[in-house]
Amino acid sequence: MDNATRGLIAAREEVLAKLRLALIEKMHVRRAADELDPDVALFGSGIGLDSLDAVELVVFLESEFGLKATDNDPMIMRGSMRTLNTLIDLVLAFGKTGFTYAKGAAHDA
Amino acid sequence: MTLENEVRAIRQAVALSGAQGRSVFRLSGAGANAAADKLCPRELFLRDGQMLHTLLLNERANPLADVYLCADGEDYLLLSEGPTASELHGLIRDRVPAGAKTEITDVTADHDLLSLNGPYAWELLSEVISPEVIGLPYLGFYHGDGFTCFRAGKSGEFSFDLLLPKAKAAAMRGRIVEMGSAFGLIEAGDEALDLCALENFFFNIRHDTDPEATPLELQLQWRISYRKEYVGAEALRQRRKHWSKRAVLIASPDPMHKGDKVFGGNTGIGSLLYAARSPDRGEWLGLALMELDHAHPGVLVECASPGGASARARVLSAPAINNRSLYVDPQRHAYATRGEDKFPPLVMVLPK
Repeated sequence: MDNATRGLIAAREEVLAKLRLALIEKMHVRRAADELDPDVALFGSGIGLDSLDAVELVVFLESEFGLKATDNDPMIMRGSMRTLNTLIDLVLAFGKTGFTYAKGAAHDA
Repeated sequence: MTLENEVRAIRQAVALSGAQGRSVFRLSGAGANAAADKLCPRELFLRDGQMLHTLLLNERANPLADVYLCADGEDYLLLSEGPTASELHGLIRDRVPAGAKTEITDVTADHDLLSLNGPYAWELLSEVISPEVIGLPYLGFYHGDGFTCFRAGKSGEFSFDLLLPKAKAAAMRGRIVEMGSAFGLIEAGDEALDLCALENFFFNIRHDTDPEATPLELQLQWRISYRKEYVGAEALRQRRKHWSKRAVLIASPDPMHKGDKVFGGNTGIGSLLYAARSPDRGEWLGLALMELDHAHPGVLVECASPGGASARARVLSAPAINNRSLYVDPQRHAYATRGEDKFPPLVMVLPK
C-alpha cells in the first residue's frame, strides 16, 4: 500500500470517527461507535435516522467541516447522505478538512 | 427479456417478481410475543403494522435467514428468505421457549407473494389495489381486501410485497401485468434482483454467505444486538473481540467472479462472495470479504480467478447507485410525465 493510500485511509478514519460521535451524541443513536458500520444506510433501515436527524446532520457538517448545504448542488447533498462512507466522500471532496491529498482520489458513488 | 431490461425496469420504472425461496410464517397465541422476542436477535420494539429487519443466525453467528418480523395485532408475521419453509418451521420450533403457547403457521402454504420494485411501483400499486399504499411508511404493512401489503425491499427503490391467497394470486398478477403496461412494467427474475441488491449493498442470503461471515463482517451489526441472548449471540460477542475482515463493494472494468481471490500487492487479503456486471455503471461490481486494513473506499486491489484471469478493482463507498426513488415524490411525480422531470444520474460522481 502506498503512502497516498495510507493518507487517504487515515483521513477517512478521522472523519468517520467524528461522524460516528455526532450520530451518538447529537442524533442520539443508541449504538457503540464500532457498531455503526460505514456502508450501512443512514435513513430508513440501517442506522435509522429520520428527517429531524437530517437537519441535525446538515448543521453538523457545516459546523465541523465547513460544508455549507447552500454552496453545493442539493442533488449532490442528498445523494451523499446515504451512508457514513458517502458522507466521508462528500466531506473530503468539499469540506474544509485540511486533507488536500484526498481530493481527486479514487472515491466515487 | 434481457437482464439489462429487467434492471432498467427496476431502476427507472417498475418490475414484477415472484417470491421463490421466500416464506411467511405466523406466530399466534398467548406466547407469540415471547416467541418472537426469542427468535429476534435485536430488541423487539414494534408497534402494530411495523416491520423489523433482522436475521436468524446459527451457533457460529452465520446468517441462516434474512427476516422481517412484523407486529400484526397480538400475532407476529415472519417474512423470511433463505431456508425452505420446512427448514424455517424447524428453526422456529426449535427456538421458541419451551412451553410457550405459540401456534406456528406456514402462511405461504396457501398464500403467494408478489413483489413490485421500482421508482413508480407506488403509482402502479395505488391504481391496482388502493391509494393507501402511497402513505404506507417504509417498513410498514397493512391488510387490504383479500391481501396484505408490505413496504420493504432490497432493490433500493420503492418496493412492495403483496401477500394473498393462492386462489387470488393469478388474477392479481394478471391485473398488475395489464395495468402495468402503462408504467413500463416487465417481469424481473432473481438475477436482476440480486444485481440490484449488490449495487445497493443489501445483504443477499442467496450469495453473501461464507463460513467467515457474520453480521460483523457483513456490516449487518444494525440487525443484531450485543445486549440480548439468542442463537449466535455468544459467538458474535467473542468474534467482536478480534474481528479482522469486512465485506465491501469493489468495482472493476474487467470481469470478476464469485470465489476470486483478492490481493493487495502480493498479499492475499480476501475473496469475492459475489460478482456481477452492472449495466448502469458499465463495470463489474463485487462483494469482497477483505482484511479491515484494506476495506476502505479508494483502495486498489487485484482479483484473481482460479483460471488465471485478473481484474484490477477499487473499493467503493456503498451504495453504488444513486437510486431514482430517492428523488421521485408521489405528490409531484408520475410515470407518464417522467420525461419532464429532472433527475440526477443513476451513478453519482463527485467533482474532483
